[in-house]
Amino acid sequence: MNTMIIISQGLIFAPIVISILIYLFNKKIINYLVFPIQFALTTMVIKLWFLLEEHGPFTYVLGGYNQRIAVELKMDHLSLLFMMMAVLMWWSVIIYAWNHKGKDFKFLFFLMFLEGSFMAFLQVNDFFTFFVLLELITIISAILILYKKDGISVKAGLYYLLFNSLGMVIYFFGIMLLYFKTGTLNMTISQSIIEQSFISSHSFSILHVSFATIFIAMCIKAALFPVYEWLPRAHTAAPAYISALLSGLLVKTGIYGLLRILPIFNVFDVSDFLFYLGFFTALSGIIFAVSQKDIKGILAFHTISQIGLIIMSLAYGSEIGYIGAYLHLFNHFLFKSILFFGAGLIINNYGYRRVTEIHGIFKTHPFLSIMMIIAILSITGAPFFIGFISKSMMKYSGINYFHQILFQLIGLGTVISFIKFSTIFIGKKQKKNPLDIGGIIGIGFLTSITVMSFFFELSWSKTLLKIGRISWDYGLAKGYDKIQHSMFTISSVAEFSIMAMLAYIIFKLIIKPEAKFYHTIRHFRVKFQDAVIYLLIFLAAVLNYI
Amino acid sequence: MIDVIIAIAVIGVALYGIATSKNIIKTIICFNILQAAVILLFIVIAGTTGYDIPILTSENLVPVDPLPQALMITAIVISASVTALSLMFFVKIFHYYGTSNWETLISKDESQ
Repeated sequence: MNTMIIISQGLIFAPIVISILIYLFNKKIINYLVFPIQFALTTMVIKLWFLLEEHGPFTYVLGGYNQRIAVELKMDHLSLLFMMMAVLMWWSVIIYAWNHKGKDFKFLFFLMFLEGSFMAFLQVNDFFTFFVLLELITIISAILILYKKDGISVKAGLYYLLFNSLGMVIYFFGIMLLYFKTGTLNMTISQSIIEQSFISSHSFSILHVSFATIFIAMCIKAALFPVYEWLPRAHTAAPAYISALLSGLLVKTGIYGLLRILPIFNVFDVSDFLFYLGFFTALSGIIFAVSQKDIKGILAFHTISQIGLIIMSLAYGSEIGYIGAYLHLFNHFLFKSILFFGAGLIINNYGYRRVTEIHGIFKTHPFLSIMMIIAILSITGAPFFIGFISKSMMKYSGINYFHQILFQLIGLGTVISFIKFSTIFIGKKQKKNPLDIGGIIGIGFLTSITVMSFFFELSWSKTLLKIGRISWDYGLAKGYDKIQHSMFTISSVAEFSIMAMLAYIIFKLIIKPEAKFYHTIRHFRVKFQDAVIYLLIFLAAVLNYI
Repeated sequence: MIDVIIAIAVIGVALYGIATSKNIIKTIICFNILQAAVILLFIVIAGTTGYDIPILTSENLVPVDPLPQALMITAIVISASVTALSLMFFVKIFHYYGTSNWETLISKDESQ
């Protein structure tokens, strides 16, 4: 067990110590230390994977205090998944940004410090340390959004910081109520106390308020339906590598929080609420995505729709939905990072941001285009690409056919928004500008992982389905066999091509002609004050529902 | 009881201020008031009368639960840093746009 403690502490403190060294010495040679430290982190995460397979989840208390009041760290498969994502993400960000940010010691300080605090966030098992680390992540990522040093990014950074910190104040309110009710902040202990106190009385109590506030705070971090306005602002204003970091990883802190907190409050049944919340999130994400002209805007709103899809799949707690959602978290991180990196390269080289102004990328940069097309096919769920595995699993997670239709509808919307995005590849050639080589290597690294993880996920999900870890007691029992046998039959290919054709027709007939109301939708921005009012209404709705 | 009511009232005032003020500085200050009010509320709830201060004394009185106060100190540090950072952001915004009004800021964004 000592190895586990060393790994756990190493994952947290190695990047933080390196970041402080970088800041103190301020020398180019010290900056190269990030590479060995990334190798060390990768080794530690792989070692952790084997140890977890062997021994199962691992918890330990810091400082030898009573478990009820102490800081407890816990590592399980969920944190392992996020740690793998984090290590890959930081590798690709460092490779991508090295050419023009490698000398910037302040940038590397913030980046590595963020990695350490993110690794710590993935291990904590008590509500208060969770709060502190989440706030730390919010502050550092707000500084990183500012990094382009222009007016729009400062504005987006302020919006992001204030709105997310408001969410954190609400979360803090909730956990302190929970502390006075249960006498502990430890997640494992408080779960049993909540269950006991709920058996004794069902009436409205402090616990309801506490659950509602904690739930709302996680919804803000995950950018769900009424309170997602901070996300598109931050994603479009930040530099490309930070957008990728935000969209690939940091927006998922909210989903991680929901995955940790919903089992603790399992006495409250919010499955229907969560499903439709996810659906409206996904739908509004798509409506805004198809009306955008800015290529980063399309990607940002598309992130919202994918987050909604993941929430929909998690809502009913079916095992197939969970596995699909976990795989989709990982897949979404891969392909969305590739697209943001690619969009950043294109914007930096041509100086345009609008879909209509960029054309003929395939002719000028065929290698970049092929990698981005792989990502687009994955994101739309085309057969033989990673998105297909997770999306077809998520499709069967609802409890009736109506839910399955809603999943298909969101899939259709995804295809439409990406047809709009891929118009940048065709058309007549523009003047060719050389691309940043580090950027290409960063994208190539992620693309190779995307292709490799397809085979890995395929075998992994098949074994998972075969050994019967999926207990299937829902209406769509046939879904189980269907995925196992018809992964690559003609029918799935036909289904996708019909969907793509339908999407193309809708795109040609409705989206392309540029009706006037698209202009209204495109410039629809929620003011900060209005967002706060939506937040309060949302809080009232959750309190009313539970 | 009266102190709990005061703390909740301050929370309400701060939320009202955040949701209505047109000036960025006012929003940030209301935000700081909100954090302070939440901290005040929990210090008031935790400090039950009839118990001693949580320091070892010679008299045999039962001390109050020291954990909430320890947590509140951390929360105060966090709220101070968030306020400081957002004021820094405001200085930058004023440098770029020359306004402290949310609405003027939005209209400047549209004109670009």
